[in-house]
Amino acid sequence: MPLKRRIAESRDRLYRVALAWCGDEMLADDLVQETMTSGIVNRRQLRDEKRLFAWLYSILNNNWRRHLRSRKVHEELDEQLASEAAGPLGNCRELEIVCRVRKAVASLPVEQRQVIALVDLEEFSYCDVAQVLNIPIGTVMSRLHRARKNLLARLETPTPETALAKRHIRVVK
Amino acid sequence: MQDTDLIDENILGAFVDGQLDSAGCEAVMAATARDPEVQERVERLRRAKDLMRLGFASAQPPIGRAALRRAAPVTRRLSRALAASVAVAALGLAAGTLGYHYGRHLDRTSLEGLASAQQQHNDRIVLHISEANPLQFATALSYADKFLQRHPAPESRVEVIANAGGLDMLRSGLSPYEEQINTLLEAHPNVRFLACANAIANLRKRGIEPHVIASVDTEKKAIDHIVERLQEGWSYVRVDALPEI
Repeated sequence: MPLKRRIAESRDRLYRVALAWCGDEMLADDLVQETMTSGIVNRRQLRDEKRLFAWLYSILNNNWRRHLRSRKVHEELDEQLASEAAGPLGNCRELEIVCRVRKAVASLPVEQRQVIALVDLEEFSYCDVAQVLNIPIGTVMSRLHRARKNLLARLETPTPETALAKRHIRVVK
Repeated sequence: MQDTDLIDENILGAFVDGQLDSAGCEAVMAATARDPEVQERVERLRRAKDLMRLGFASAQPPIGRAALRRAAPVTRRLSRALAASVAVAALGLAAGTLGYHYGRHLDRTSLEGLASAQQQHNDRIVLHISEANPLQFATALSYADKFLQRHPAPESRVEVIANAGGLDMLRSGLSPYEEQINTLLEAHPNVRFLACANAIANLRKRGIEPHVIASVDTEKKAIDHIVERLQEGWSYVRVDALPEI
């Protein structure tokens, strides 16, 4: 398949990771479109087509970082996403667990989100993640560890809804 | 000494992610067999990995992008840039505008890629609409008409490309401008209207048959076509940021 076509058909795959990174459906799609356009325009710069997705995720990372710098909301965005009950992911129409996972991921520090998305959603090797994000492998491992620990901690903390439901159960008994 | 003390979380994570060599895997498996606590830690890491996959496995890009909540300030910035130079507008597309409000950051590599494109044709222009906004579309039709009057055929060319919500402006029975579109096509042989094949497919996935106006081309995706035109040296302008003519 021609490289241009492969890039054009990568939208869904890139989108999953972009959504995990930024926590906003519209922004994720914008970042992916921006990445695909850059990829198509600059596809001749890719020397090894086997590394297409590592290359595309490097572009996505650059676009995402540029967005964060330009908006200057790196920390504010994290706080906003963590605190908003009906934030960008508030319209999630999926299963409750899906919504909870996405919100929990959105509340993680950006660096942890990036690593856990590439490892768990893309099944990238630690070496590939290190290259994509331009960080040492040791940092990949430590961020991944913290991301999983924090993710579980957030998901195992009862939400107000589930806590309420449990109280009702006790009352019935 | 417990196995717990020997195997740190990073090693267990690497085991769960298939990043250990065979000797490493054997060591961890032996530890899990001997020590229930190590086994439990491995299970927790696997649970985190499974939850992560569950959370995003069904994620799909949004369908229909008409309601852009944060479009206004970005559009205004883009508009100023476009008013300054149509060529800059073309580069704006390469950075990923394509009707998506966040795509306004010019990517250096994109700029370099486009800089190496063929020479710019100032008499060939792509007008791109991505919102179901009749006022914008009317402005685009007026702009196209004026542009073609000032840049006569056969050298000049105008293409109006609609995707996302903008597709509605090219749907028969829905667009208030079907007659004007056909009038413009009859008046100018060098104007063309295109509806994004992807946007059409997305509507069909939702069970909606778009019934695009007969004179509108529907074969190509907007992104593919616009990038091709940019590489050919055409200018690009979003219809929500048309410069003065």
